[in-house]
Amino acid sequence: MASSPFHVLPPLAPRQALALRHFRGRRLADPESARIARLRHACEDMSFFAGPLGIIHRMKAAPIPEHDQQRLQALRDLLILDTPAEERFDKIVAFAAGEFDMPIALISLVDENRQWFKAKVGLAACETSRDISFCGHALESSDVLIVPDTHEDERFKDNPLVTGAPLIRFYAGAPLVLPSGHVAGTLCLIDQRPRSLDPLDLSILCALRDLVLDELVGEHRGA
Amino acid sequence: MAPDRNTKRFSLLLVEPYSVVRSTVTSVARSLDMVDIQDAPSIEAAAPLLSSRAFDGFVIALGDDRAGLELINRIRNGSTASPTTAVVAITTERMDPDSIAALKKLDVKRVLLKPFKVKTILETIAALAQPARHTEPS
Repeated sequence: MASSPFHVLPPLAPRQALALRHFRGRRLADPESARIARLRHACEDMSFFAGPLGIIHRMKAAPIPEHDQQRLQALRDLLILDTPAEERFDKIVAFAAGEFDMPIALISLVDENRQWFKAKVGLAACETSRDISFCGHALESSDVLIVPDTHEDERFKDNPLVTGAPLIRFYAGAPLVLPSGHVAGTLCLIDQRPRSLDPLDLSILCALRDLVLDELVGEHRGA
Repeated sequence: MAPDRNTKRFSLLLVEPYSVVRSTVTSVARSLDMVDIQDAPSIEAAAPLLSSRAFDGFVIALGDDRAGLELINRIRNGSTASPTTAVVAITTERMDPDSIAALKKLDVKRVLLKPFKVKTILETIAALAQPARHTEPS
């Protein structure tokens, strides 16, 4: 595969482009398409966004964990998706944004095809597509995912959230690990300039993440 | 930031009404094994700890009712279970020259004006703990 982040291909027909996008969501509308099959083979798990003139953006899509259905069930059992904003969560993200001088802080919960924000500072959107989400990359580990500079990271340099609004350069996501062991999402920090966190910062972020978990599942963890 | 194995653990009481700050400071101090920390949301809530445990240091939110200053006076007078020489830092929303003079008289080591970062409190705790560590007899 060429090293360039862009591959110029003939423009996709609308139906093919739609099918390609659905492939990322495991709902391929036209699995017999030779063109899509060729792309699928050539590009493995890369995510594609067909732009003008058929320019295809390379980007490492958020991987789907092996036990995602169980993870989704654990998330949905919390009965929190699409609920209104709550002060108990808002105050934690506001505190996190202030503590780390971050323009954006989120509690992001990763649903089947989207990441939905239970609490947010500095972002108007209430959700984004899962395949372009940063938090979707944090689902398979209990470690904090740190991306000091998205422009230097092959997984994210062509992500639409990097090349367009909100122009993410720095990301740190502390996984919200449920009692079942599945990761519901993250408490994440985002900046529009490269950043780093020292060990004390990481400990503070994890402590704030634990406060979020206490609010999410405290009664279950204490049982 | 964790103490050496041969040093006595520095014990500290944090009195902080804001739950996010209190929980975060306590959690990080414990996870990094910085000090042996206990916390309370108010001086009233801390009363049982003050009478039953000796602390090497305190971080106390002063508040508007002067209860914080009264607590420091009690520590210095030996009215708590802690040594009268325990190191003390305070957090406060405002400070005036009279208050500074009173705090100096009470040998307060550090004043943190709100808003401050949790990291600053943790660094203050680490600094408070540093001189009090001593090697236990082997």
